[in-house]
Amino acid sequence: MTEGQLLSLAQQVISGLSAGSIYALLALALVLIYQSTDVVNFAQGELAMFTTFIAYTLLTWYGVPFVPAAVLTLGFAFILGYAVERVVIRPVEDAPVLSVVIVTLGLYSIFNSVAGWIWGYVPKGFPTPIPAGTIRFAGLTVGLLDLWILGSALVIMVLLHLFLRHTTLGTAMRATAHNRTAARLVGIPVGRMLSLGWGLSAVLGAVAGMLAAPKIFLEPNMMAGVLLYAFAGAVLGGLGSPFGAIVGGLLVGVIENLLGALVATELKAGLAFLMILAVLVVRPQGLFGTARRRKV
Amino acid sequence: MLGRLLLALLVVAVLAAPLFVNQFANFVLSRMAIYTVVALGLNLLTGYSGQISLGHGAFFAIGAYGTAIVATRLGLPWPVCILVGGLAAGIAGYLLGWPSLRLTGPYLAIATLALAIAVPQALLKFEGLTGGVQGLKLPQPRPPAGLGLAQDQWLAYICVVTAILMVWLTLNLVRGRVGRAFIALRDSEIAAQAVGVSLPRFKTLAFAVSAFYTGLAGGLLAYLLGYIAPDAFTLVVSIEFLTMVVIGGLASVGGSVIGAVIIVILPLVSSNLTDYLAGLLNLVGLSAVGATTRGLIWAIYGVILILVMVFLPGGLVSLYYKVKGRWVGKAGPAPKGGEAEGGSR
Repeated sequence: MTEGQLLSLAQQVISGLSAGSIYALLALALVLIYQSTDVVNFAQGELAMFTTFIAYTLLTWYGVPFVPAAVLTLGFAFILGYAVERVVIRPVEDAPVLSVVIVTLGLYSIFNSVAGWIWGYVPKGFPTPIPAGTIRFAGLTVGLLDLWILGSALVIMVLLHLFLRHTTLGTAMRATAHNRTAARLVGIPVGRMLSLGWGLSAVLGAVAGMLAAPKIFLEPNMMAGVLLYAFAGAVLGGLGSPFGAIVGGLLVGVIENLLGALVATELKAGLAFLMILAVLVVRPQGLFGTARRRKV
Repeated sequence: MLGRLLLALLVVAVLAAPLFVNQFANFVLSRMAIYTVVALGLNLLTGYSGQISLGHGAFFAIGAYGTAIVATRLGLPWPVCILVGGLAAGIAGYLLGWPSLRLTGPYLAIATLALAIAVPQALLKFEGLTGGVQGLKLPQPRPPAGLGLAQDQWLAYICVVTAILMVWLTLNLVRGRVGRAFIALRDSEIAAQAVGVSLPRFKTLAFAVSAFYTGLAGGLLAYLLGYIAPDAFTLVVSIEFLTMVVIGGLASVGGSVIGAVIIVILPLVSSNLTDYLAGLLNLVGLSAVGATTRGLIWAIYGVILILVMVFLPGGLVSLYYKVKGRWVGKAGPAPKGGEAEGGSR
C-alpha cells in the first residue's frame, strides 16, 4: 500500500469511528436495558429522536443557549425513560418476550407519529456548538464535527463507567441487573433501579440523537437507520455486554465507512441485516457476550 | 351447531356483499380480505409457532413485486402471477427460516426488523426490475364477460374467495399434523423433539408457509391497486400486521379475521378520533406545525397495542371465549398471548 492509500484508509477509519461512536451510545442504551430487564427496546431510537426534537425546540424556538438546552434535554430524557418503564413496561414485566417486544413497538409508533405531528416531516438542521471546519493532523484532515461527536461520546461513556463502577447507586443498579432476587434480599429497591436504568438509557439515547442530528438532519424517521446499526453493534458485541456494545458499535461504524464506497446508500440497511445475520449465525453470543444456557 | 349456522350465514353475506355495495365499499371489503390472508399467515408463524416476525412487510413486498413483475414482463394470467408472487415470498421465508433456527425471541425480532427495513430500500436500488420510486403499474384482471360484474366487484370476489379459501386451509392446517407440530414446538422445543417432531423441518416450514400467505396477499394487493411502489411497504406496514394479529388474538383463526377487519376499518373511522386527539394536544399547549393529523393514526395503533398487551393479552377473540365460558377452542388452546413464545426465558 502506498502512503496515500494508507492515509485515505486512516481517514475512512476516523470518520467511521465518529459514526460508530453514535451507534455505540445507542447500543449501550439497548444493552443497559437488556441486561437489567431482558427487554430489547425497539423504541430506543424513537425516544432519542423525540428528545432531540425537544433540544431543537429549546434551541431554535426559545433561543436557549446550547449547554443549558442540552442539560434540560438530558433531564427531560431521564424523566421520560423513567416514566416509560414505570408506566408501560412494568405491567408486562413478567410477560413473554413477544408481549414486551410488541409494547416497545407500540411506543415506537406513538413517539414517531406524535413527533411527526408536532414538528412535521421536513428534515431540519440541528445547531452544534462547534464551528464547521477541519483540522489537519499528521497529514490527515479531520472534521471538527467528527471530533466533537467522538469526544462527547467518549466522555459520556467514561462518565457512565465511573457512575456504574464507583458509586453506591451504580453498584446497586449492577446488582439488580446481575441477580434481581439477591438484590432485593439485600434491600435494594429493585423497581426503582429498573426505572433508573431506563432513565439512563434514554439519556444515552438523547446524547446519541443530539450528536447524530447535525449529520443526518432532524426528522421523525432519522433514527431508524441508526437504531439498525446500533442493533448490529449490540449483537456484534454481545447483547449482554456494555463493553461489547461500545466495541461493536465502533466496529460497525468503521465497517460501514470502509464498505461505503462499495455499497450503495440504498443497500445500507441490507448491509446491517447481513451483519446481524452473520453474527447471529456464526457467534450468537457476540464477541464479548457469554452464551446463556437455556432452562428446560 | 349455532356457531356453524352463523358462520355459514357470514360466508353467504360476505359472498353476496360485492353485488349490492358501492365501489368504495368493495375496495374496503377487498382490503379486509387481503389483510385477513396476511393475518392468517403471520398468526401461523407468531401465534401458532411462537416465532416473532417484524418483517412481514418484506414478504408482502416480495409477493406484490413478484406478481407485478411476472404480470408485466411475461403477461401471464392473474392467478398464475399471484401464485408466483406467493411462491417467491415463500422461498424467501424458507431461506430466512434457516438462520432463524438459531435465533430466539429478541434476536429473531432484531433480524426480521432489519429485513423489514432492508427490503423497501433494496426495491429503490434495483430500479431496472422494480421501477424504483416510480413503482410498477400492472393491468387489473378483467371480469369474465358472461357474469356481468363490474371491475370493482370482480376484484372484490377475487380477494374474498381467496381469503375464504385460506381460512378453510388454515383451519385444516392447524388441526392437522403440521399445526400440532407447530404448537408443540412453540410450547416446548425440547418436549416436541423428544416425541419426534423435527425442529428444523417444521420451523422452516412455518416460515415458508407464513411468508407464502403474506406474498399471496401482496399479489392480491398489487392487482387491487393496479400500481405498487416501495413506500407502501415500509416498516410501519410490518407493525400494522403485528398489531392486527395481536388485537384479534394470537393463535386464533377467528382472531386473525377480526384483527384484519379492525385494522382496515380503524383508519376510516379514526379521522375524527385523530382530530379530537390533536385538539386535546393543543389544549395542553402542544401546537401542531403544519403537519396533518393523519399520521396520528400510528399513535392510536401504539396505544392500542400497549393496552391490549397489558389488559387483554389474548386479543379480542379471548373475550368471545370468556363469554362462552370455555377458554379452549377446538383448534387448540386460545392462549393468553403468553404461551405464544417459544419459552426462551
